[in-house]
Amino acid sequence: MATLKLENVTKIYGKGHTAVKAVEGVSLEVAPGEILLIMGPSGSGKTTLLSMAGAMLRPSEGRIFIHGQEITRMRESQLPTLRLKEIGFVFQSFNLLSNLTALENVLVPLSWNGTNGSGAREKAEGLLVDLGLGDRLHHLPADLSGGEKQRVAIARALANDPKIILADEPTGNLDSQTGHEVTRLLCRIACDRKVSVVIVSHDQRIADVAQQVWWMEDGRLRPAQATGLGCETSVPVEARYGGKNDDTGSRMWHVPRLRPLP
Amino acid sequence: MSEGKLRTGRFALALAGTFGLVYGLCVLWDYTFPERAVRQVWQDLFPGFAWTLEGVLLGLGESLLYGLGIGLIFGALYNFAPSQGVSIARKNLLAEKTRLAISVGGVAFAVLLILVLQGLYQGWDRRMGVYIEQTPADIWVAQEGADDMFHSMSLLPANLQERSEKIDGVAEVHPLHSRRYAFNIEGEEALTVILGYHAEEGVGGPLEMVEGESIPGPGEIIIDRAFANKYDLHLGDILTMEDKDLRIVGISEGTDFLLYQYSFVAETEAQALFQMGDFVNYFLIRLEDAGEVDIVTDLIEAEFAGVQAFSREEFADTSRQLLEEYFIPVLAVLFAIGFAIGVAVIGLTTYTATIEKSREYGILKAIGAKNSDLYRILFEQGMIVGLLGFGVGAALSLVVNQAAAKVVPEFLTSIEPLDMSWVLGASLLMSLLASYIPMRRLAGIDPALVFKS
Repeated sequence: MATLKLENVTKIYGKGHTAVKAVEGVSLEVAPGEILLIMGPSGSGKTTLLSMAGAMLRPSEGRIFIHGQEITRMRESQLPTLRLKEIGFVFQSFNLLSNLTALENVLVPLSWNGTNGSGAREKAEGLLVDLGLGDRLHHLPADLSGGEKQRVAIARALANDPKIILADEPTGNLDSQTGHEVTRLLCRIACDRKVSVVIVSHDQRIADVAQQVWWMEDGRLRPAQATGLGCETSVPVEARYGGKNDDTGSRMWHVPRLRPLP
Repeated sequence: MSEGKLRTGRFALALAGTFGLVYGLCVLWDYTFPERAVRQVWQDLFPGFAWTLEGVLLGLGESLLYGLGIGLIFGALYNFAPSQGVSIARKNLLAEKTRLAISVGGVAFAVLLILVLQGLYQGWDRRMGVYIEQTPADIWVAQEGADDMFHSMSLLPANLQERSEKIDGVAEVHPLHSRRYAFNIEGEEALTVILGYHAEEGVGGPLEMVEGESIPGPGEIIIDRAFANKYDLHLGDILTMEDKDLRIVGISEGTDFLLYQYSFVAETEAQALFQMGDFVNYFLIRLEDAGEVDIVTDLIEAEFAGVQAFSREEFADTSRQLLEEYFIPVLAVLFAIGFAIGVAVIGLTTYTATIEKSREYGILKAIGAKNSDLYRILFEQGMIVGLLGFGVGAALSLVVNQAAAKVVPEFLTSIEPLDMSWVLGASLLMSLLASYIPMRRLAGIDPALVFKS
C-alpha cells in the first residue's frame, strides 16, 4: 500500500475571475521507504502541494490518502493528531523552538503523543545520539550550527515514528557539505525505517537518491529524469555519500542538471 | 545549559542569602542612623527580635530561615509540572525576563491594592464594633432611630435609669454621656467624641492604654493615640473645651474611628461639661442572666415608648453597617480597578508575546499541536504569572500594612488567611481571563506559514 497517494489534486485560491490554480490535477504515489523529489521554479505550487500532503491545507478537488486513510474527508479537528502521529516535517529554516534545547525540541511531539517521563527522554536522546548530536542535547538552537539544527529537526520529525516525512528545501539553508550530510541522513532514514520521504527542493543532488523525481511548473506535475538509487541498491548509502571528495563522494557534485522529460 | 528544572537547594540558599543581606543592611542603617531608625517597620516580622546583639542575631537567623523556607517551597512547586513533559510556557516566560517582570509586577500591584484595601476594610470593620463589644454591658438602650454610635444622636431622659432597674432580670444600669466636640488646636478643628468614664464600673473608658494614667481625674482627659499623633499632642498638653482646660494625662488606643477618635473624661466631668441636664445618651444594662437578653430587650421596648434596646452584638453590628454602607461601594470599585489592571497587564504582555511567537505557535500546530494544546501553554503561562504575582503582592502588602500602620495609626489593617485565599483565587482568575485574550489569535494561526522562510 502506498504511504502517500494523491488523486487528481487541485488547489484553487480565490474565486471568479481572480481565481488562481496553484496546483492542478496532481496525482502521485509514494511507497514505504521510497524517496520522491519534487523540483521546479519558485511559485510553481510545490509548497502548496506539500501543505496539502501534510494535512495543513485542504485541496479544492481531488483526494489524498495517507496509509490508505483519506485525509481529505477527515474533520479539521482530526488533522493535528494525524500530523502528530503519521507525518514528520523538515523545513528549510529548521523551525526549532528557540527557547527549548535540542532534547526538549524532540520531547515536545513525544509529550503530545502521550509519551512522557524517562521513556520519552530515552527515545529523544537515542534519536539525537543516532544523528550525531549526543554532545548537543542541552544546547539551545542558537548555539547549534545549521547542520546540527537540521539534524535536531529531523530527530523531531522522527520522534513519533511517522510513516512519511515531508521535507521542504531541507538543504536550502546549509552549505554544500552539510547539505550533503542531511541528504545522506534522509536517505538512510528511508532505507532503515521504511519511511516514505517527500522532498521539495532546488538541490539537484537530491535527485541522485530519489526513486521518483517530478518537475512542477504552473501547478502541474511532470515526471523528470530519475537517477536515484534510493535505498533499493546493493551499494551502501555511506559508500555513495561518504562526505569526502573521493570517487563516490564526488558524484554528489556532478549530478547532471535536471530537466523535465518531454 | 539548564533543562528548565530549578535547582531548589541552590535557589533556596540564594534567597536566604538575599534575605539575610537585606536584613543586615537594615540593621546597619539603624546602627548608623539611630535617629532615623526604621526597625519598627519590620521588627514585627521577626518574633523575639530586640535591639540587642542576641536579638539582632536571632532576627538574622529568622531572615535566613524565611528565605530558605520560601525558596524550598517555591522550588518544589516550580519543579512539579515539568516532570510531566517540557514546559514551553515556563521556557518562554524565562526567556523574556523583562516581560515576565512586568507581568508579575502588574499582578503584584493588583494583589497589593486589593489586599491593602481588604485589610483596611476588615481592620475598620472590626474596629467599628470593638468598643461596644468590649464594654461590659449586655444591652445598649438608645433613643428610637439611633441605631449606632457614629452617625445618629441618642437622647434619653435620665429617669429611665430608675425605671429600667426595676425590670425583671436587670442587674445594673449605667448612663453613658457622650459629646462630639471639635477642639481648637492652633486654629485647626480637632474633632473627637468625648465619653464620660465610670471608672468603678468600667463603662465608657479607654480600651487599651499606651501611656500615662488610665483613669482621668477632674480637669483631665485621656485621648486616643491616633488623635495625639494627628495633632502632635503629648502628655501634659492642655485642651480647652469652652472655657474649661483639660490636661492630657493618658494616651490610649483602639478607639480610632476613621473620622474621629474617642476621648475620655470622668463621668462627673462629662455631666458638667456637656450640660445635658436630665438627659443621657445611652443606658448600658448588665443582666443577672446574660442568656435573657432577648426577653429583657423586649420588656424594655414594651415598657418605654420611643426607646430601642439592642443586645451588645446587635448594636456592634449596626455600628459596622455604617462602614459597610459607605465603604463597600468604594471598595468594590477599587477592587474592580485593581482586577482590571491585573488582567490588562497580563493580557497585554501575553498578547504581545503571542504575536512575537506566532511563527513558533505555527510550528507547533504544524507538527501536531491542537489549539487546545496551545491554549494550555497560554494558560500555564498565566497561572505561573498569577502565582508569582500573588506571592510578590501578598508579601508586599504585609510589609506595606506594617510600615503604614507605624507611620499612620489610622491605617488600620487586618488580613486574614481567608482573604489570602480569595485574593489568590482572584489572581488566578485574572490570569485565566488574560490568557483568553490571545487565544483567538492562536486559533487563527495558519500552520502552513511554517513553509515560508
